[in-house]
Amino acid sequence: MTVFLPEVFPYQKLRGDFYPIVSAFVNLRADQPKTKTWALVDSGASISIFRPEIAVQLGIKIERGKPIDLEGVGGSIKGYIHELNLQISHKTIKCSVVFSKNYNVSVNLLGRAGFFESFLITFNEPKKQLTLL
Amino acid sequence: MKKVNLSTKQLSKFAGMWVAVDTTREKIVAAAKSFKEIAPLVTKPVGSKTPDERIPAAFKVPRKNERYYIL
Repeated sequence: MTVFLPEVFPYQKLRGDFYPIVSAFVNLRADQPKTKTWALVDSGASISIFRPEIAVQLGIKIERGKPIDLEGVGGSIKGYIHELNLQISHKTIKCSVVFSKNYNVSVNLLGRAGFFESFLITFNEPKKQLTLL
Repeated sequence: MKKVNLSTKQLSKFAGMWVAVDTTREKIVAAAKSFKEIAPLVTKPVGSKTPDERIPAAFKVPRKNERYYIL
């Protein structure tokens, strides 16, 4: 039996604020090169959304995904859902990720669909650490 | 692309830029205006024997006017 230990990710400090950020490899298929990127773990997001540059790197035609309207406090943007392999910590999961050419936030967001279902996630705010198991 | 060797505590120096981060040593190892410039550093080819932890992670450092996220 394989026993996995929890992996701890220290929060990253950006201009005085701390953010729960993890590193993840992404690709479309296991037989393709994989790209490593940082993503902000966002329990308030229903689905993940990554920067459009990541889609270009993976050879994804953004508009060929399943259309979705993303609603946020700041308004609505049109996006397209794609199924990616996400390798985070000791797991590789299939996860729906939205790409949008209108996504102006700098960071990738890891939302609940696919990702939160696959891990036990602990936000340790006093220690500024996120733990995945 | 500019190669650097700085602590991730200094991420804010690169606001608006793409950086490659050595996540084991917590060091920024490169910075560029576009993702394309750092793409070779953050991509692991099929069959590469480089351990995953040695591959830097790409990150777009938030712009100076981009502070709080309420999404």
